This record gives sequence, structure tokens and C-alpha cells, in this order.
Amino acid sequence: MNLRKRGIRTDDSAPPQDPSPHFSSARFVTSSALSERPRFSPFLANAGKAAKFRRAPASPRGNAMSHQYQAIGWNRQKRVYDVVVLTGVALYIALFIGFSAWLVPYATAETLIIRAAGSAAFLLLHVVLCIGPLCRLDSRFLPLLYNRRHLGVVTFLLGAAHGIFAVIQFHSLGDKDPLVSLLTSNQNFRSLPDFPFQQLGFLALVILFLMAATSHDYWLRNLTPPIWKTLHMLVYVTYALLIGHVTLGLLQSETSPVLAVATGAGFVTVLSLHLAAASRERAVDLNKLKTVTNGFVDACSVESIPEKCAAVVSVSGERVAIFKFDGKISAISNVCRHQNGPLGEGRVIDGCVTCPWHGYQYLPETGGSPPPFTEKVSTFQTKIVDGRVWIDPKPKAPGTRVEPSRISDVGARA
Amino acid sequence: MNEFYVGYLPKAPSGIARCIRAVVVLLLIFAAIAAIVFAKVQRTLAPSVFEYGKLGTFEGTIEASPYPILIVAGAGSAESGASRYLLVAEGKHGADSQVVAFAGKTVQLRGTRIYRDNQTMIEVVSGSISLKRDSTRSQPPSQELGIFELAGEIVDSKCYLGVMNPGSGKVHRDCAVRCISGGIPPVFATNDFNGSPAILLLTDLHQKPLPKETFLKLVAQPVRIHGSVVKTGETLYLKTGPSAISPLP
Ligand code: HEM
Ligand code: HEM
Ligand code: FES
Repeated sequence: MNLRKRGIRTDDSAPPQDPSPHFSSARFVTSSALSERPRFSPFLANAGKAAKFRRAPASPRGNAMSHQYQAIGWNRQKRVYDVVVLTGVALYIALFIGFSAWLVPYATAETLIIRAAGSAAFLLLHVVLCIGPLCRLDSRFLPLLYNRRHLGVVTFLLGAAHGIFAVIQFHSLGDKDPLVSLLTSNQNFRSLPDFPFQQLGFLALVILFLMAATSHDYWLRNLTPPIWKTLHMLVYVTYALLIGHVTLGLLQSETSPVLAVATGAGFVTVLSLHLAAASRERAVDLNKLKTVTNGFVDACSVESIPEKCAAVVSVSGERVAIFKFDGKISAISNVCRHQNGPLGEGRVIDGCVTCPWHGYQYLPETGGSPPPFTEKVSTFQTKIVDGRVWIDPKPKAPGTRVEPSRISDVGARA
Repeated sequence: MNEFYVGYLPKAPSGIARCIRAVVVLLLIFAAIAAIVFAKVQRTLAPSVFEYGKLGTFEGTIEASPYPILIVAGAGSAESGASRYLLVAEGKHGADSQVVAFAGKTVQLRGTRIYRDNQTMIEVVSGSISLKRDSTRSQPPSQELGIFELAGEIVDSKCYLGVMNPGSGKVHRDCAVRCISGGIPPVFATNDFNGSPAILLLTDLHQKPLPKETFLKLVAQPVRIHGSVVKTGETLYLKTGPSAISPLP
């Protein structure tokens, strides 16, 4: 009973249906604090701030709620995630510095710190960049995505440590301001082997800083998703800058082929994963739905959609997720309002479409998040004819209620 | 494959959890291998030493020009019976202004040793030079070794001798520019001076410091220099002019 109340966000916000039969999701329900949906970035939001944002829904269980808020930041998954990330980084840095100092006793501490932090940041950026496409290719990687921004921020912090040490080491205590020196010591922009690689690293660090500084969901909402998304696509610019930083920097001095091959292999891995994921997405977009009757298009068969899951189709240039649940069919936009996660790869849990990325939820009938949450996605009119789902390609305004189509006995037999 | 992961739930479904554990273990193993491999393939770390934190007191005669040198009797090579320690100031600065007042005089100073191969330098603690005696030593004779065409790199002596490691090459270029610009004596490091590596102080044709602007753009990259080499004590000077320095392809 208590579990149920603190269960999937239905306590103050119950979607109008009886949740008890949906025990395909029983394992979730045994958990507590489902309503602690991570609406803001945990590493910035302390519990106090969180409570301020979340106090809005006046609820008789206010105390219980604010108690739960504390857990929002650091639920078990996130703690495990962060512990693993920090362990990995510590392991890498300790092994690199330990082995270098052992193999080359006269190596200076500064160089080893600069190299350890820089290479750790660069490696981690590869992981960050691979998670997105890996999750598109296989949903079992999704736990890596849930906290990807923590990886991003750790990448930034390592890059910053590397950059700051490099500026201290190479540019400070001289006859110019260190930053002026950083930007002016080498201006051979026209020569590749002499190219000023440190400026590339600096630019990359500035972008990483912007991303990390705006990583809180507060910014996501205030910058609006398109601007924020543009900011995030800059991660690819960062990556390109860093490939330049490394190939025009370290690889010009440290000539071991191992380093060049490793850099190349990293690039090929990132590139091919993205191409593979993109080609899979393209398959959905290229699958043009041709049969149009009375303004509806023939989207897919009812049978082809697994229960509580969706089929994703592309109509009028927009991806639509068609969900099948409890003998009903509903279609909503495939694009999560949080960070554009693919809703069609989510599940219906307790009557709510749950985003695979960070678990934002939407009612399939309205496209709106159950209160107190306010996100809304577009909905689409559907109908079922002879076991096939037809949808109206014209999106309804986000949050518009559309009655689900009932699967007739014929259709439901699947 | 019917499992679905929701991040804010306390536990991931067991199949997904197993899969992620395997991925994480693989990633950790990969990180460990990457760290060891990167540590192992570094080649540019040179056997050079900066005795950071180990201050010593030195006594000798100041030679102020072209570059500040402390000539310490008794120590060092047998042939001259004296060691010649290049002097630099703290940070990326030369010691010229500190030594001018003591040119040719016997002084005591405190500083930190920096050395590589047979070359030693002292980073002088600022303000620590004190006059011991006015008496001067006779200059050791200089020896002309002839005209050479050498391939190598112009670097700042302080980093190259051990303050930084690597103290040469592309990664260190900006620093070398800063150091030379700040008055650290420029040296020419070559791997082939009569068949063996050598470090030569760079001067103009009159064995005065070469104007920095004329070669700052060519620092820390492969260059060829045509010039004549003079040996004073164990110090080598390469006398050349801006036009005799050319980048190597
Ligand atoms: C102000 C910004 C930066 C400066 C001044 C800077 C400077 C440098 C320098 C001088 C080196 C060569 C050091 C050596 O190996 O001896 C280097 C190498 C490198 N940098 Fe940066 N860097 C900056 C930002 C970054 C950032 C943000 C990243 C990655 C996120 C990065 C990644 C690397 C990598 C992977 C290497 C080669 C391996 C290593 O030495 O660690 N750098 N950088
Ligand atoms: C230094 C910090 C960060 C780094 C390095 C980073 C890295 C990335 C990368 C690599 C992508 C590529 C898209 C993909 O693979 O699907 C991406 C996209 C994304 N990032 Fe970040 N991120 C950082 C911070 C953040 C923060 C703080 C947030 C959350 C507020 C965030 C949210 C997103 C979202 C939603 C996308 C998907 C955009 C889309 O594909 O439409 N990132 N980020
Ligand atoms: S919940 Fe974050 S993208 Fe959907």
C-alpha cells in the first residue's frame, strides 16, 4: 500500500486507470520512490534546491515528498554509476603515473599529471560519444546513458585539470600573461606540423566548460531544447578539435606508432558506431508509408507491436511511436521533451509511456505527463482496420486527448 | 530481452545488470591496459634532473657575458680544473640582471641544480648572490673548433637541462618560446656534433647573445645551423647569424 503510493508517480497524479493488473512491471513497483524522477541534475542540485523546485504540488504527503526529494540526486543507480566512473578514472591515472614513474624514474611529476589527466579525458570522451549510438543499437546499454552527463562532467574536470596544469607548466612565470602566452606563443597557423595545437585544446576546453556549466536540467529548460541541443552537438566539434590537439601535438613528438594507431582506432570506433546507428534510424525514415485512405496512412499491423511497446514510423517527416497496451493503441510523438529520447523504445509502465533514457513519463491518451509534471508531446489520431493500425499524419497540439483505438478481438488475438 | 531499465529505480533488471557489469569490467580492463601501454611507449622523456626543493650553496666566479655562468674551482673536469654552471633565475627568466653587478667577481649564491649529460645549471634564488672577493680568476682559454653545419633544435637551456621533461619538441615549443623570450639562454641541441650529442649555447658572430626576435619562430623545431664552434672550459658556443639558421623539412 505504502509502496504503491510512493510507486510510479501515481500518488498525487494517478492516471485514471486501475494500475493493479500491470504487473509485468511488478519488479519496479516493489521499489520505493519511483516519483523521484531526476528532473534536475543531481550533481549540482543539492537537496535544498531540489525541494524548492519540486514543492509546487501541494500535497498532503508533502513531508514524504520532500523526504523523497533528497533521494532524487543520489539514488542507488547513480551512486553505483559514479563510483564505477571514479574508480575507473582513478585506476587509469594511478596505473599510468605509477608505471611511467617506474619505467622512467626521471620523468617529472608535472608531465605525468598533464599526460594522465589529458589522456584520461580523451578516452572518456570516446566512451561518452559511443554511448549514444550503442544504446540505439542495443537497449541493454541504456544504463550507461542514464547518467551520461556525469561522464561528460568528469571529462570536463579531467580536461580542465590537464589544461590548467599545462598552462601553469608551459606558460606561467614568464614575461607574458599565461593566457596571452597560450594564445600567442605559436601562430604558425599555416603549417600543419607546426600548427598551434594548444589553442585547439583551449577551445575544446571552453566548449566542454559551457556544456558542463549548463548541464543542470534547469538550463535545459531555460535555454530551450533547440539551443541546448545545438550546444550539445558541439561535443562533436570538441571531439574534432581534440583529434587535432592530439595529432598536431603529442603525436608530433611522441612518435610511437602505438599512439597514432590508438588515436586512429578511437576515431574509427566512434565514427562507425554513429554510422551504424544512423543507418538504422534512416531505415525508419525511408520506410515511406504509401497507402493513404481518407487522410489516414497505413502504419503497421497490430500484431507487429509487442504488448506495452511501440512501433516507430515516420509520417510527414516526423517520427511517431505507436503503443499497444491493455488492448488499446495510441500514437504519440517519438521525441521526448526532456532530451529528445526515443519514446518508441520505451515501455508502457502503469499506464504511462516511460522514456528509455531518463524515465520521463507521458500518458498515451493525451501525450501529457501526469501532474505535477507538465511536459507534453503531440498525439496522433489512430484507427484499426482489419488488424492494421492507420494513423492521421497530422499531429495534434501537444497534450491533446485522443481516444485510444480499441483492438477488436480479431486484432487482439496476436 | 523483455527487460526495461528505468534509471531512478533502485535496481536494474537482472539481465541488463549482468550485461552492464560485463561491459563495465571490460571497460576497466581496457582502461588498465591503455594506461600501461601509454606509460610504456613514451620515448621523449630524457635522463635529466631538476633537484627541486634541494637548495645548495655555491661559490665561484661570475662570468656575465654572453650568458651568466658561475665558474667553480676544484669541481668538474680535469682539463680545466673548474666547473662552469650556467645561471638562470626562477620561473622563465634569465639571471642577467642579477649577475651584472658581480661580473668577474667571486661570489656565493644559493640555488638548485639542474643537469643533463655533463651540463649543469643552477637556478639562482633571487637576491642570494653575495660578494665574497673582488679578486678574479684568469679566464680559461677559448678554443676554436672550426666551422660546422649542424642539424638539431633550438631550445631553452633551463627546460632542456631538466626542469621539464620533455624539454624539447613540439609539445614543449610554447614553453621554449616563453623561456627564451624571458631571457633563459638559448641552446642548440644536436645529436650529431662530431658523431655524438651536444648542447651548444647560441650566440651571434661576436659571441654576444643573438637577438631573440630573429630566431624565436624557429624554436623547438628541426633546424639546420651553419656556424663556428668555440669551446671555453667545457662550455660550447655556436657562433652564428639569423640568416644561417634554416628550418629542416
Ligand atoms: C587550455 C587547454 C589545454 C592546453 C593548454 C593543453 C595543452 C596540452 C599540451 C601542452 C599537451 C602535450 C603535453 C605532453 O604530453 O607533454 C597536451 C596533450 C594532450 N591534451 Fe591537451 N591541452 C588543453 C586541453 C585539453 C583538453 C580539454 C583535452 C581533452 C579533453 C586535452 C587532451 C589532450 C590529450 C589527449 C593530449 C595527449 C596526451 C597527453 O599528453 O595527455 N587537452 N595538451
Ligand atoms: C561536459 C559535459 C557533456 C558532454 C561531454 C556531453 C556529451 C554528449 C554527447 C557526446 C552527445 C552526443 C549525442 C548522442 O550520442 O546521442 C550528447 C548529447 C546529449 N547530451 Fe550531452 N554531454 C555533456 C553534458 C550534458 C548535460 C549536462 C546534459 C543534460 C542536461 C546533456 C544532455 C545531452 C542530451 C540530451 C543529448 C542528446 C541530444 C540529441 O541527440 O538530441 N549533456 N552529449
Ligand atoms: S527522459 Fe530524458 S530524454 Fe526522455
